[in-house]
Amino acid sequence: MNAFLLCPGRGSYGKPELGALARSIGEIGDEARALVDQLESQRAALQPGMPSLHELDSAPSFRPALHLKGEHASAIIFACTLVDALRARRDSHPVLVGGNSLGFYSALVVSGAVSPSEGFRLVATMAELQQSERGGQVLWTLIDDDWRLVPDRQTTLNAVLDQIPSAALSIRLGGHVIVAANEEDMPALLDALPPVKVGKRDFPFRLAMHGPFHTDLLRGVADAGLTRLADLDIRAPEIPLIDGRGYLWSPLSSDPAALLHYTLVTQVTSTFDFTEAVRVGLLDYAPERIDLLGPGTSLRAPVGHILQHTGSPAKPWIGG
Amino acid sequence: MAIRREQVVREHLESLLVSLVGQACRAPSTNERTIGRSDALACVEAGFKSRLLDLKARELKNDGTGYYTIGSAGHEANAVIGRALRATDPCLLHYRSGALLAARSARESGDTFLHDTLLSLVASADDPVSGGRHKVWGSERLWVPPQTSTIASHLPKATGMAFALERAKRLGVEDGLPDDAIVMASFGDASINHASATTAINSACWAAHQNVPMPILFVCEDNGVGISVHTPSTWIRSAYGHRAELAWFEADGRDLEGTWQTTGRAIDRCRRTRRPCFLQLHVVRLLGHAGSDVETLYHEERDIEATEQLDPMLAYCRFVVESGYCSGAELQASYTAIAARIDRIALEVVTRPKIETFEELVQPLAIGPDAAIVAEAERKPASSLGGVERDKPRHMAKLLAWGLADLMATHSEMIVFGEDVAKKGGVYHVTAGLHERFGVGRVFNTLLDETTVLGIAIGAAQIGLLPIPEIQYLAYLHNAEDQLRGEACSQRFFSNGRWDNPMVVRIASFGYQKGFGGHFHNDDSIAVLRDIPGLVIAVPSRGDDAVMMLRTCVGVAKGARAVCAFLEPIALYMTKDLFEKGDAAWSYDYPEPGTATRLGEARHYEPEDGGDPLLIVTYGNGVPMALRARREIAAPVHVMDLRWLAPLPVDDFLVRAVASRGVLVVDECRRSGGGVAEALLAALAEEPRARTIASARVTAADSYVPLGDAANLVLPQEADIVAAARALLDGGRE
Repeated sequence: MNAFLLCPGRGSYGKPELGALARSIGEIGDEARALVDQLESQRAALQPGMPSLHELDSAPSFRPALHLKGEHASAIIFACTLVDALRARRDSHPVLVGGNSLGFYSALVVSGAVSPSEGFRLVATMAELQQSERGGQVLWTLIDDDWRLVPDRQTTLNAVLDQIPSAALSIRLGGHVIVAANEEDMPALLDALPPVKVGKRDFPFRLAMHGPFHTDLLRGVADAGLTRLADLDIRAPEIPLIDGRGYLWSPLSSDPAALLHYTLVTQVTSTFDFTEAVRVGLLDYAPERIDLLGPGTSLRAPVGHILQHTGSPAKPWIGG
Repeated sequence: MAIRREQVVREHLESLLVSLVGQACRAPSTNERTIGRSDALACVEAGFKSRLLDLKARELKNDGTGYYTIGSAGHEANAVIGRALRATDPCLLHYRSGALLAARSARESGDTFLHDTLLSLVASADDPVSGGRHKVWGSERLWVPPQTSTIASHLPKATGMAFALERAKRLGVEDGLPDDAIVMASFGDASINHASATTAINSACWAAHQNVPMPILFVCEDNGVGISVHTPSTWIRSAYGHRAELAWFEADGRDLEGTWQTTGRAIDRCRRTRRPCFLQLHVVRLLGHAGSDVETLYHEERDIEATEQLDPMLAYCRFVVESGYCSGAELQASYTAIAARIDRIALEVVTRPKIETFEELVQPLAIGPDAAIVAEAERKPASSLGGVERDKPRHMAKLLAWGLADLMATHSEMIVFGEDVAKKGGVYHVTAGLHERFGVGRVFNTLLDETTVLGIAIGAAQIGLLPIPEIQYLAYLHNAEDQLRGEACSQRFFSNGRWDNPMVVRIASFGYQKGFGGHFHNDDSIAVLRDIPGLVIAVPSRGDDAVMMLRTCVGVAKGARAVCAFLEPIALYMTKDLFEKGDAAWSYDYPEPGTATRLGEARHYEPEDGGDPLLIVTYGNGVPMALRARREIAAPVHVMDLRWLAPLPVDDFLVRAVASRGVLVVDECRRSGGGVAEALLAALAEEPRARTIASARVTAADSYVPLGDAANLVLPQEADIVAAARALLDGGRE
C-alpha cells in the first residue's frame, strides 16, 4: 500500500509518549537500536552534558521543564520519528514524505535527502540557535466542533496580525493556526485572539517553551544557521519530499543548493503551511494511506481537518 | 487489426528507458552544458508527466470515462518555455501545452498539475480550471488564463495583454506583475494562418513600429501538419522570419540544450527590449491529431513510423544520461513513479462529481449581484465636470460624451479606444473632449482592425483595466465577432468564473440615415450578439437613457464582471426633435452622476386615454417612430421601449401584453434574423394567459440596407406601424 508519511513537530512528545522510543525500538528491533545508538553517540559528542535520549525517554515522570526544552524535545522527537519511519517503510510503500515544522527536518532524513547523522546535526544546531530567541507561539483555531471553518475567524486573525506589530502567521495546521510574536507582544496576542472552545479544548493557548518559529523574528537564527550548517550534506531526496509551502522536491530534478537554502532560511523565517503541504500531497499523489509517524498523535486532528476539506479518500493511519 | 500508435510510442520510450538502466550517472563532461542539471531534468520530468497524461487520456476515453484526447505528445519541447518563463509572465497557451504547464507548475508551490489535468479529462465539476466545462490549460496562481481556442483566436487578446502590461503600470492599476513581465502566447503552425493570428502579430508589430511597448513572445509550435493538411517546412520562416519589428528565433525542439539556449535568448530579448519576439519551435506530432483521428487515412504508415522515431522524449532521455545528469535507473524510476501516480489519481478522479444541473452549469454566466451592479452604476466622480454647458436639453451624442467623461473621472482604470476616438472625438463626436481631458494614456486611437480593438479590450481587462472600446459601425463588428463570442464572453464560463474580462463595447449601430452610408453604415444585424450567452445588450433610444444605461453597463462590468454591448443608434445621435422640427421633444437634460437605470428595465410610454391599449413593443429607432405613429392611431396605444435586448424584459412584456388589446412588435432588424421580434412573439405564444391576444410584427425586410431612398424599402416605416396597428385593432381586418 502506498503511503504519504508525515513527520510531527514540536509538542508531539508529551506525557503519554514517555517511553515511546524504547517501545518503538522494541517493536522494530536491531535496525532501530543501531540507529538510536548512533544518534546517542552523536548527541553526546555534539551536546555534552545533556541527558541522553534514553534518559529522557525512561524518566520516571514527564517533566515539562526538561522534556519540552528545545534541545531535548527536538532530539527525542526526531529520534522517535526516524525509528517509526523504519516501521512505516516496512508496512507500506512511501510515495511522499512531509512534516510539520521540526517534522520537516525529520522528513529530510526520511526522504533520503539528508542522512540521519546530518539530520541530527541540523536539528541540534537549530535547537541551540533558537533557544535564545525570545517570543513564542500561540495555538488558535478557525473551526467549530464539527470541524467546519468559521468564516469570521480568518477575518479576526487577519485583524490581529495587522494590529500586533511583531505577530505573524507561523503555521497553518489544518483547522488550527499557530501565531507567533516576540515576548513583548505575547500578552497582547493572547488577549487579542478571542477565546474559543472546540471539544474540550480552550483556545488560544501558548505553546510551552516554543519560540517565534517560522517568522522573520528568526532572521538572525537563519543567518547563524547558514554559517554553521553551510556544509550540511544534502542531496535530492530519494522519496519525493513536500515542504512547508506545498512545494514538491523531486528525486530526479531537485537542486540540493536550493533545498539547503529553503531548509536553513526560507522555512525558518516564513510561514510553514502544513495545510497546503498535505493538500497538495493528497491531490497530486493520491496516497491510499497517510502514515502519521510518531511520536504521539498531534497531527491526527489537523490532517483530519484537511482530509475533510479536500474530500480525499485517503485513510489516515497513526503509526508509532 | 490496426496498430495502436499510442502503444508503439509508449514502447519506444519504455524500451529506451530500460536500455539506459545499465548506464550509471557519469561525471559531467568537462564541456559544461548551457542547460544545467536541474533545468534539464525538470524538463524531462514535465515531458514524462505530459506524455503519460496523453496516454492515460486515451485509456480513459476507451473506458468511457474520459472526454478529451487531443494531446501534447511530440511537443514536449515546450517544457523548456514553461521552465524558463516566470510564473508572473502571463501565458496564453496552445492546446498541446501539457509539458509547458507541467514544467511551469513544478517550479512553484502548490503544484497539483496531474490531479487538475485528470479532473479536466473526465469533465469533473471539481476541475479547478473550468469546473468540468472543458479540458483547458489554465491556472490562476500561474497566470495562465484558460483558452478554448483551436484557431489562434487567443492571440489578439495576448497582444492586448502585452500592451496593457505597460499601460496599467502607467495608470497606477495594480496587476501584481513585475515591471518587466512579458506575455507568452503559443499556437500551432496551422492556426498561424488564421486571420486572428495574422492580425494579432500585425498589431504587435504596428505598435512596436511606433515604439509602443509590446512585450510579447509568440511561440509557433510547428509540427508540420494541421490535422491532415501539410504545412510547408519553410512556410513559417518565410512568413515571419524577416518581418519588420519582429525578432526571429528558431529552435529544433528535439535538441533540449539548443532549445533552452534559444528560448532563453528570446525571453531575454523580449523582457529587455519590450518588443515582440517570435520563436518557431520545431516539434513533431505523435499519436495523430486526437484519439479519434485515423492518421493512416492521410499519412503512409512508414511516414508515421519515421515521425515516431523523432520523439523528442527519446532524445531528451539520452541527453540527460549522456550529460551525466542522472543515471538511467533514476530516469526510469522517475517515469515509473509518475505513471503510478497518474494511475492512482485517475482511479480517484473518475469518482468525482460531474456537473449535474443546468443551474450549476450556467452559474458562471449569471449577471449579478444586483447590489454590486447598482453600487458601481451609481458611483459618482470624485470631482464633477467643470465648464460643461448643461443649461438646456441636448441630443444623445452630446449627453453620451458628457456621460463618458464623468465615467472616466469616476473610474481611474477606465480606458477608451477605437478607430478615430482620440483627437477626432469619434465619427459622431461621442468621445469628443475625452482625449484632451484624460490624455493619450486613457483615450487612444487603434489601428483599423476590430479584432485588435476587442483583443486589446480582453487583454487589458484581464490585467485590471476597464476597457470601453468603440466599434465604429455595427457592420465592422462582424469581422471580429468571435472575439466577443468565442473569447470575451466565454471566459467566465470556461474558467468557472475564475477569470473574466469586464468591458463595455460601444457600437454605433442601425440604419435610418436618410439613405446615406449604405450597408456598412446602416447595418441592422444583431442576431449574432443575441446569440452570445452571458452578454448584456443595451440599446438606448434617447440621450438621458443612454447616459444612465451606460452607467449601468459600467456597473455590470465592474459589479458582475460581465461583458456588455452598448448599441448606439446612429440616427438618434443628433436627433433633437420628435414630432415637429424645433420641438426639442427628443432632447433631454443630462442625468446627474449617481443616477442609473436598472438592468433589464424597460421604459414605458403609457397611453393618455383610458381602456385597454394596443401594446407596441420596440427599441432603438423604433421608439420615436412608434411614438409618432401613435398620434395617427385612433385608440389608446402603450409604447414599451425594451432598452435591454439581453436580458430581455420578457416578464414585464408579458404582463403588459396580457392587459392589452393586442401586441405589435416593431423590430428594425431583419424579419427572419432570429431577432427580438421572434423572441417576444415566441414568449407570447408560450404564455397561457396571452393565448387570445392578437399579435403582429413590423420588421426590416430580409435584405441588406441599400443606398438612397431604396433603404426605406428595407427598414420599417412609420406608415407600416400605423397600418399594422390599425389592422390589429380591427381584429386582423384591413
